[in-house]
Amino acid sequence: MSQFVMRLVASGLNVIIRSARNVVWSEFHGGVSILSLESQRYFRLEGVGHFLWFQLQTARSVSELASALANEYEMDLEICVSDVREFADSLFREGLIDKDLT
Amino acid sequence: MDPTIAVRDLLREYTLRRAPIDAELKGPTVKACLRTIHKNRLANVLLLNDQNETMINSYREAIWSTNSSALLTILHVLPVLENNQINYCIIKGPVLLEELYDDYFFRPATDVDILVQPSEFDRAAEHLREAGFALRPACKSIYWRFFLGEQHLDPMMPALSVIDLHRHVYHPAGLGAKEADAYFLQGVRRELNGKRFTVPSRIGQALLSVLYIVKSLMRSEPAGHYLLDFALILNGMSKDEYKNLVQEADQKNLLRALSLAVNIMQTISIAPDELRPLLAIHSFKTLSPYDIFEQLISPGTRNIKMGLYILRCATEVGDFKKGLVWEIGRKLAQGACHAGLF
Repeated sequence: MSQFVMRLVASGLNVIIRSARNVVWSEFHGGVSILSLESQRYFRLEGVGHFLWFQLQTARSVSELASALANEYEMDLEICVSDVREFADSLFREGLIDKDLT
Repeated sequence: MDPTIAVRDLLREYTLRRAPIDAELKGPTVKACLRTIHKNRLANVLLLNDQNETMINSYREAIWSTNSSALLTILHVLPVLENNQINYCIIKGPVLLEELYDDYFFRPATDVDILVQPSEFDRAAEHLREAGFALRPACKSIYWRFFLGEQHLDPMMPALSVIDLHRHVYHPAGLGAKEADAYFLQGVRRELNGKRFTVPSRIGQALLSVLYIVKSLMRSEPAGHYLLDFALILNGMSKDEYKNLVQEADQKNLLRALSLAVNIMQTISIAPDELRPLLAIHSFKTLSPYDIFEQLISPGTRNIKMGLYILRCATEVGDFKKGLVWEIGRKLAQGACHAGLF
């Protein structure tokens, strides 16, 4: 388990995250393409990932993101929390989100 | 709907709202309208809908590929320019799109345009070669060096863009270019991923847009994107900035060129009251501002002569002659270059 996920678990769902400043992105063909200027690597998110990326353009807590996901896709909140944690962890590892622990 | 009128309306609405337009184009000319919007690099002025979805998605995908490369190229060359204390300015491309549209991907930027002081041109080119860019053989000709005042440097690494290194921003009529170039170089500092760089000031950007509009007229290239840049810059200026813009244009021999651009702004109802005195500088005896606008949006629709453009942009009759001789010389040099004579 990564340090970020451990902090997520330790601090409950109040971690505030948003898309990193050093990434640029563009939406087309129903998804979003992202370039990390830091790592100079390209990423592509579609479907739920695209939806969550759009939400991350403003600072959100993990619980807010999970609620938004649950509402949008009519999913169980508990599953959404787990999915969002995993998603946030992978974005964090790639340097695509900034975090602010409250 | 006539495509030129559709573009005119979109330009006006986007400038006033500063947000994409949910436009439902009507009539048998929908395809022609979309084609004209695309050719003028204005597709992102539209909100995505069923009518334009295919066009906009392909457009954005193409922009993604060119502009992300351009951004990586800028990050690659900034340390080269900064560490070697070269007086430079990035004059086009994604970093300027972000300034104006808050979007690095608003329209395609196929290369990275960098203006350097003429005395530092060779030194800048040498440092860029050391950084992995090779001078394109065709650019060694006098035509490129003297008439176009730019050189293309091809990247030796994948994923980077061509660098278009300029020694001047050519203005076909008059002697304004030299004075204007020095002014553009005194730009403002911005930051990308923690790296600082120089772009033209807002007034510099306005004057550059005017130059690009004139160039597009000369070359019969669609210029809707430059018109939108100019409209947005004008629309965001204060009264003092309007005054400074006129002063700078006057000092740099660009007053008639500015007047031409303001007249065109008038046709899309964007000309500010403060610049209305400029409207009279041009006397449109044979052409209306809308004729020029139409030529800029749909080049070739009317047979408007090149010399007339030069005349309309020149400050004095002497400048008109110089502009005309220059343009004829450029055409001859271009022909000689293509024939492999030098």
